[in-house]
Amino acid sequence: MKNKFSSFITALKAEHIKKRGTGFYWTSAIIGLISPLLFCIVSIVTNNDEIKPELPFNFYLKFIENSLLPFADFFFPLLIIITVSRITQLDHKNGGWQLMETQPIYKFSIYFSKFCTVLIANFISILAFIIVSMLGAWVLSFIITVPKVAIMEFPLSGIIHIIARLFVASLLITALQFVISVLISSFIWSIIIGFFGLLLTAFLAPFDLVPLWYPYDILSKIAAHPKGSDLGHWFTFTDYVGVTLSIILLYIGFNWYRHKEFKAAFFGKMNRTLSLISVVVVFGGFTYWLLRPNQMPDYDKTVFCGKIDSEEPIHTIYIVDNTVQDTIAIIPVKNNAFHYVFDKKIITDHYSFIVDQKYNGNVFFGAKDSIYLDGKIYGPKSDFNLKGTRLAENQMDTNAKMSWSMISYYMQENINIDKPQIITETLYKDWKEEMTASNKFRTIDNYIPKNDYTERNQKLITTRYLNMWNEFLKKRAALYPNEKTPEGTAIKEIKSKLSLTDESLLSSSEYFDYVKSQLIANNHEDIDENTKSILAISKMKQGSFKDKMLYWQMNKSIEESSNSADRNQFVATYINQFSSKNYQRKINHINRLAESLGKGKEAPLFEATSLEGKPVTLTDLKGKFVLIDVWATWCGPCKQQSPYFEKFALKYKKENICFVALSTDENIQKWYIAAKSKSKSVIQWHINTADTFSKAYNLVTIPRFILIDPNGNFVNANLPFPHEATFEILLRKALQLPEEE
Amino acid sequence: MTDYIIQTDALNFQYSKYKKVLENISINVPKGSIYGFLGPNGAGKSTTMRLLTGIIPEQGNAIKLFNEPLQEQLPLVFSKIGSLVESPALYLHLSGIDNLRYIAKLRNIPEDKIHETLALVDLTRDGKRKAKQYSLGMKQRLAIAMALLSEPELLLLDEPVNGLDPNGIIDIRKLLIKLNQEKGVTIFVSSHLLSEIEKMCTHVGIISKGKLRFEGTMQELSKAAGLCKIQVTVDDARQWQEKLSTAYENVTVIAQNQITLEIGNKDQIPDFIKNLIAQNASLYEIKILDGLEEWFMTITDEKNTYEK
Repeated sequence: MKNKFSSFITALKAEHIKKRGTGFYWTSAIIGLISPLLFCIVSIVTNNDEIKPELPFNFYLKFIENSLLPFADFFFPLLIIITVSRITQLDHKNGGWQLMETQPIYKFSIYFSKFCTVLIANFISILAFIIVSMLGAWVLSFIITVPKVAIMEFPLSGIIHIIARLFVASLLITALQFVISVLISSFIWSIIIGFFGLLLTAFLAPFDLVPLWYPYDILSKIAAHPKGSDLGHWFTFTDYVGVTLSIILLYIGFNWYRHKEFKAAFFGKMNRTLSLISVVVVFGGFTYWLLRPNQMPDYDKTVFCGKIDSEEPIHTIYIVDNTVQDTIAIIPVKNNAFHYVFDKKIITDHYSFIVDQKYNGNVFFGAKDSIYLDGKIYGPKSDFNLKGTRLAENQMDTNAKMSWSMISYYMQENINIDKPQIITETLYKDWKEEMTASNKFRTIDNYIPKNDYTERNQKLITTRYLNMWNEFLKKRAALYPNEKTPEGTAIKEIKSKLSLTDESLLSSSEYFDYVKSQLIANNHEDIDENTKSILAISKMKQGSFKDKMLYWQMNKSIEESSNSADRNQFVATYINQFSSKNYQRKINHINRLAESLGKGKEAPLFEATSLEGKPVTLTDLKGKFVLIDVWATWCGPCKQQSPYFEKFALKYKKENICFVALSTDENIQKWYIAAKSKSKSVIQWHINTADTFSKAYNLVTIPRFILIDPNGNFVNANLPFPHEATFEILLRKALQLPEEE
Repeated sequence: MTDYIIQTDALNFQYSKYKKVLENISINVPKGSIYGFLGPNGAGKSTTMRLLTGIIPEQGNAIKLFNEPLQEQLPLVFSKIGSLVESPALYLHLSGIDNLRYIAKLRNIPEDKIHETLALVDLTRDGKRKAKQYSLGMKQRLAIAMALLSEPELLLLDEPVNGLDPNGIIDIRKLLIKLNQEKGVTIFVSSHLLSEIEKMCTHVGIISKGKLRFEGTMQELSKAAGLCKIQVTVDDARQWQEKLSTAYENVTVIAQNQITLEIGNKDQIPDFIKNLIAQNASLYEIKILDGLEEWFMTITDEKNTYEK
């Protein structure tokens, strides 16, 4: 053993004599520094001193993370392919393999001393990348304006972590290229295979077809997840897969090289075959075990805990259900940490968590789950990470991309409405694809959502597609009233996947829409949909399913109703159908809110600040009509509407009306700068008590346009946007001006 | 019993099922000998050489080096062997000295040996130049230097004088003889030209078409080749054939006035002529058909190959 070890060291030293004058390690260093150098230059050139709101971050680590993508995805694998080819070519070209094999050196030493040299080259490249990144960040800190939130500490442990991950993740591609390059003496093949492998990732990635073990992709996962494991492991499972597969590859590659022929190497003698089988079984088994997705085990209690990094003290976290907006839990936060154990059973569903009324997010959990919320709040910026037993579920929710499908495009653009065959086929195909895709999500640590989530998610996808089918039926019925639209086996199959009585899905309005559509499908009376629906729901069996259906429908009807008398009549008729008092209370509250915003009701007062910094309220404007535009500097649609609003302010300057732009900005300075530059014909206010204002005015989205009469009563609490023609018509009507020609 | 450095016991080798490249090759190289391994191109010399060095794995267990099976001694046996197989294996991007330094590192030899060896092959002046700038002969000499560096007990040289000019050939030959005589190095050297090595070899093995046609000392070779074939032009050949058949072998009439026959060796030719003249033969011409070279050609020539 000692003999073999010293033989290995000798071979390694000799290998370093051999590579003299080839500039091997220099190439590695140079390729390592390209990416950070480019990033540094681009940062300097494109620097515009704009400081965006950000969470605190380490300036150096951020620099590394930013230049990681080109390095890990391209330059580094490229370097490996080239290095391996060059180092093996030295011997292929010069008859070196024969020369080495006629020296008193074990073949193991020959093979692995070369491999080791490549690994050293890899390490040098990584090191160059890190060092130049550090230097680049340091230089940058003198040239650009460093954000105040940036931490300038030298991130030693972070750097060591990234170096270790890059090194381990590069093993598999190095091993693969090495095995190929030793076996095939022509350099062109190893280069072609390497480049093809690298390019294939780019081609397959958009289709989500890259296998997790794909050697040319393991490195790029580091760029995609620079922070690495969610669970605090040093390496991710793909890194380990890289190691186990490298061992198998190197075993096969070395023995193939040692015995020259594949057959002789593995099937020539019994013990060679057996040892191949055992290596493949052991490490292949390991690989299989690593690649098999995990699911988090259940917890014995239901816990919601976590910590929130924030400059200001955090007091309370509310957990609110998404259907009725019921508060499920009020969790006190002490020293920015909290730990709450639910004593009642929690239905597994999506909930909202609201941090001190300001920040909120979605969380999926249920009984026997322990959720850990890792929150960061800095000024207007916040970031919430959910870990614990529903890590994968919540991550999948956060990462959910807007799924684009052909069928939704057809529906949107009214294409192929005349061809039910095409619609059915496309719908079925898109549905199938999305169902398959919904099974693919894994966290960086190879955790997949639990089955209840996946099933629920697939039911919601099915709901969405069936709703599209219903939309199609509606459009078709309108356009071709005399033609039949056969449902076909495909649609029947989709429908069979979705129960009509799945209460757990009723937190989604889409499922409500679907159930409703099925309830009223055979009602061909000439009445509006809401009426059909409420009639159908009221015939349902008493119980929580009916309650939820009824709640959705009443909520919708109240929202859409324009007339106070009708609304009150409606509520009075149906409110007793609820079996739960809770829903009655909720509906009454919604009705009251709608009522309070109704025409002629007194507009709730609120406190605001004027541009001059004086406190102001609505009473200051009594005796005049007041038209309020609720906006914020960060809101894009508000900016689109504001010129129209200003145009009307100028046009009706002489009338008895004030145009008020009421900002809900968190950052009063930003508002001040933006408001200063606006037209003087609009009064600029900033809201003091945003919370109470949005509750009283049922503010859901902005921009919002509110018209109040000279007595301080609502004319209209929800005007259309000013760019719409109805806006001015309504305005003139209120001001009792004649219609314009 | 003679101490053999290399011994093969009916060595066989085949690349595919049907084509045997080597068949029953049994070589015995005594310690201290210079063994010439002769054969035309494609006879199996290089394959034998590669098998002896383990570059291609043996399909059996027929090779013994230093009286031990080769396979059990790989690769450490190479500390006693210097070899040069086929085209010179050198790293062209390295200087001559670095090439030797590389070998010195692998074989754990002190570096001062490098210059000594360079001097031995007369490359001292060119040591610092890159090997790619070397002429073919210089490359060959450097490769030999690399084989010699560790002062091996056995040198395996495949066509070592290939591409050398006559002076170079003489120098190498002198060097090998010197190594053999002064240091007792056993040398196994292959060539396709008998003339190249017949002057230095003590033993010869001749291979053709994958089979060993002859093995023995140089003396044995001359003896075997000594049987001399002559062509006699004489009147009335048929009559002379009868007369000569009693005393000589293979007397054949090839034309009306020409016969061929074999006599013991060249030295017998003058007496043979005197004898014919004494018997009143009308002798026009006597021509020697075969020499050592011709004999070598004959036994390696395809048409004359006979199965043993």
